[in-house]
Amino acid sequence: MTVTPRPRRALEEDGPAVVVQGLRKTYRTRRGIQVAVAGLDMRVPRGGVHGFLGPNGAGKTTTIRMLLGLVRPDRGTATVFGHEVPRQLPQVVHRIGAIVEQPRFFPAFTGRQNLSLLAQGIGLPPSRVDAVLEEVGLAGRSRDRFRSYSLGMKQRLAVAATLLKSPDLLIFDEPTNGLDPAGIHEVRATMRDLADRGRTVLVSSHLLGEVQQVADTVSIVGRGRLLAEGTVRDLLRGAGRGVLRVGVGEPARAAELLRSRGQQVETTADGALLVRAGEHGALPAAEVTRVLAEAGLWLHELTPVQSDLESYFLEVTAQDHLGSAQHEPPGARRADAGEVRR
Amino acid sequence: MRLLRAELNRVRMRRITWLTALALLLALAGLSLIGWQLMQPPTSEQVAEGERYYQESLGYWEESREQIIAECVEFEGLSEEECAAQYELGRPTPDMYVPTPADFSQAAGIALTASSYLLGFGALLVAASSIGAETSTGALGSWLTFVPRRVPVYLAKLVAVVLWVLVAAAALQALLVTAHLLLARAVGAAVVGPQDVWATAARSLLVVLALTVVGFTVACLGRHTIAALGAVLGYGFLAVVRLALGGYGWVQQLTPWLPEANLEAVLRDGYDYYVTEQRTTAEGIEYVYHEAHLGLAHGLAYWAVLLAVLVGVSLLVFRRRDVT
Ligand SMILES: Nc1ncnc2c1ncn2[C@@H]1O[C@H](COP(=O)(O)OP(=O)(O)OP(=O)(O)O)[C@@H](O)[C@H]1O
Ligand SMILES: [Mg+2]
Repeated sequence: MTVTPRPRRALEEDGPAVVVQGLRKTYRTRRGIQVAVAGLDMRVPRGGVHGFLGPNGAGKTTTIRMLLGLVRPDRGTATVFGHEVPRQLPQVVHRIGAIVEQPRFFPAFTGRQNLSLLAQGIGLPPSRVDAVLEEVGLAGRSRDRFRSYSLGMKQRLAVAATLLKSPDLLIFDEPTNGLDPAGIHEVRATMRDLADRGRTVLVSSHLLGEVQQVADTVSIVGRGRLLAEGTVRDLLRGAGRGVLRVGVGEPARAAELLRSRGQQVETTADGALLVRAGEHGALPAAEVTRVLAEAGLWLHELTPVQSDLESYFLEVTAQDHLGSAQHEPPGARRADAGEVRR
Repeated sequence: MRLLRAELNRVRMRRITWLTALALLLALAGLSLIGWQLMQPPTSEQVAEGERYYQESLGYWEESREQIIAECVEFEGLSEEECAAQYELGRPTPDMYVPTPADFSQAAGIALTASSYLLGFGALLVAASSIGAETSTGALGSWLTFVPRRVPVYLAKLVAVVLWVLVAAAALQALLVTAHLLLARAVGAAVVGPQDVWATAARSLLVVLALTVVGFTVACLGRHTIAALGAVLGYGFLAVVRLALGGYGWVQQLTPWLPEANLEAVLRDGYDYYVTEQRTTAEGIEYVYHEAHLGLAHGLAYWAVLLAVLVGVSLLVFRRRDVT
């Protein structure tokens, strides 16, 4: 079976690229049972860049390994393009390209030799190897040993390996680890480009600013469970909802007034007020203006506060650290795609 | 088939494959040199010297005839005729003083048994590192994201390294036997029993096969080349302990269950050993030695079962293992 451009079966199937339900994985360690993934639910929509975010040890890499059949889940199910993994993985593996943690190849083989073996394994012609090496800009160094590559070159080789299959789903586990700013920019551009060409990119990362720039949707995990999921815009709107920054001549009096209307008010260092919804709900911006104006207080600033992914992330993961945690009641944190969990 | 081809290429591309083959080639050259010396006819100097010693001891033997027979009669209580017959048995012969060269089958037999173990350990190293390096570098993880069916992946790796090693070992052994044949011709040594020699060479390939599979499966189970080498070293240590305890009958009775004894039985077409039995009689403690024999069939059956177990267990583990 020679592999030439495949018909994009993606067009025939619909539904999410990846669906994970109740996925759980524990490792037996010297200290006892280590829960790596604790009943994770996740949904990666088809097409676009999906960020997979979580603090260190949240179980991102373990989840990715389970999607690739490298690690066997204790329970739960995962499907990729509608095929259950790992059972039906052989049917979809040619549509998945992945880099897990670091690029791992034979150190003593050249970049070209490493790719040739992979190409042979799936019956691709050697010309394909040259093409992908060219594509990632490694053609000039392809006859050097993998061991002698810089970290960035190793990453590029790994990217080249994933491109061998021209996959519909690309999984990158912290792809910008160790890259210089130009490299990071390049990886980001590559991911965007792949997504724009209809591929699905699942990217795990710590660099939230970066994910915010490139991702369409995100899943945030903590301690092996889903904390929030949805489009970046929805999550941020949810995060920043109801917070207004108010600049006014007499901040103390204005704060008093707004508190009497049931709002939570903080004073910032530069003398502005941050107004948040209190127990009885938020005052709309227009209402804030009216209340203050009626008291003879005139605004010189009124802005809805935009949260960024980073503060949102810290907020949800902090809640996770403080909240439940050690044991997980079954189904306690089931979230459907698009719904924000707080 | 595609997997097998890729794995064959992988083995071919590894430097250790070629370095080991080169080292073994040098070792076989050394063995041929020894074989050449063993088959050398004596030099004229050795012949002359031997002749001299022969004449000397013949003279001495003839001179001391009276004395030897007298002593025999006195101390051993035999008749004079009996003692004379015994004396006659001690007549020196020329071949006692001139070295006799080994013939081809003796020299080649020695070289083949030595080379079987050399090739076997080389094979063990190549096989262990083929899977060990792949696991410990994590390259196996990348491979499995391309070809996720674990059982075919495992089998292709095993078969590839076995094929490689067997072809290389067969070539090297053939080279060794041919070298001995040529050397025998060159020095004019008798070429007897070449069929036996080829049979030994064939059996030595079974030894190589066995050690290859041991190296591969143990490194697979231990996830590292070192695991296989460590296991061999550890076993070697146990074998030394066993040798130290070799005087005990119960230790000798373990022989049919020992891997190395069975390997010897395969290599040498049967293996003989002794079991000591301790008996208490009226006069005290008496030791009786029983000769025992391990046949080729026993050795083959033993190793077939052992290898099947090793392959089965490591395959099961490999199939379910988490690759991280
Ligand atoms: N092979 C293993 N044996 C034991 N514990 C493991 C193993 N792999 C992962 N873990 C544990 O599982 C948890 C999740 O690890 P994982 O690597 O999936 O996290 P991660 O989200 O990828 O973290 P990071 O952002 O640091 O890469 C951690 O507590 C980790 O220690
Ligand atoms: Mg990780």
